[in-house]
Amino acid sequence: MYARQVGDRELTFDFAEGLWNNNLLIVDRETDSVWSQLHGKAIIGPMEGEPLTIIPSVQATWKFWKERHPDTRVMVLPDVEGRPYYYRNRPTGQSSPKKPKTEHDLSVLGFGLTIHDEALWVPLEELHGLESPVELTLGGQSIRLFHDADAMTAWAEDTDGELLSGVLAYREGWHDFFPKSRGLE
Amino acid sequence: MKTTAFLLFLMTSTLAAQERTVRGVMQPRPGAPAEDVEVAVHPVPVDPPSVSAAESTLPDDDLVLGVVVDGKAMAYPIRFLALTEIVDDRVGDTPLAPSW
Repeated sequence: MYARQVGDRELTFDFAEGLWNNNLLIVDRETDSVWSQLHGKAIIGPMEGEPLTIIPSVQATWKFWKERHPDTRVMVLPDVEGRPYYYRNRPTGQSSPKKPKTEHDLSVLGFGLTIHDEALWVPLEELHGLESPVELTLGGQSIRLFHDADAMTAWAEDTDGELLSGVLAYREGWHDFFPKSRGLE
Repeated sequence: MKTTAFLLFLMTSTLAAQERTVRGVMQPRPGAPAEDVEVAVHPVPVDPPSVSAAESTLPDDDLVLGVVVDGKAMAYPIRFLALTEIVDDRVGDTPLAPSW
């Protein structure tokens, strides 16, 4: 998840069709620059080369999240005649947006994290076989990898308990960006 | 009332932006020669509505992307993010863009 503030400018991002290096492209309304989601940088346009600031987030089941954060709010989409409005918004003749994945292959879905140019990617399947948290050093920093198989989640904290900016990512997408990424061994 | 609120949401979010095309030059992947590209851009929700955990009807085993900013917790169901890939929101005073 990224902050929308870049320098002194607040940007509004839209979805762009097409993938770059197996990863999502987004375009801001203010400058029409094209950004790579996983790269976190503008790759075309007036903002080219500008980095986005990461806001650490956790992917988990709704049950897990609301039990940890009882005061949480959760996004809803207004329905029109039982359909999310987005379907109405697409030009006719275009295919529907892709459906959410309902099943995940835990051997190719993993937890990825980079610290000081050192990248780590661990399949959830492997992580779930270990006791949580797993302690290790990455980029010279001591970190703890937490995971919960029932909640289909993993996240990393530093030794002060601060959430780090890891993501759940598929093996192929992650390694396209971080080919030198290492595993737990 | 519900319809009015929905129309207001549409007008202030997606209708402010148009389906559009952006052109540029980029490498399809690192090391490959640069190509002229044309990218079709689709507007996504801005400031989507939210409800409390008690009001939510989201199934317990649905996946969410959760964030805590300025002491405020917010969850974005993956099933909604997957429809538009990204949304533009604000938690506390922080403008942010959860994506899938």
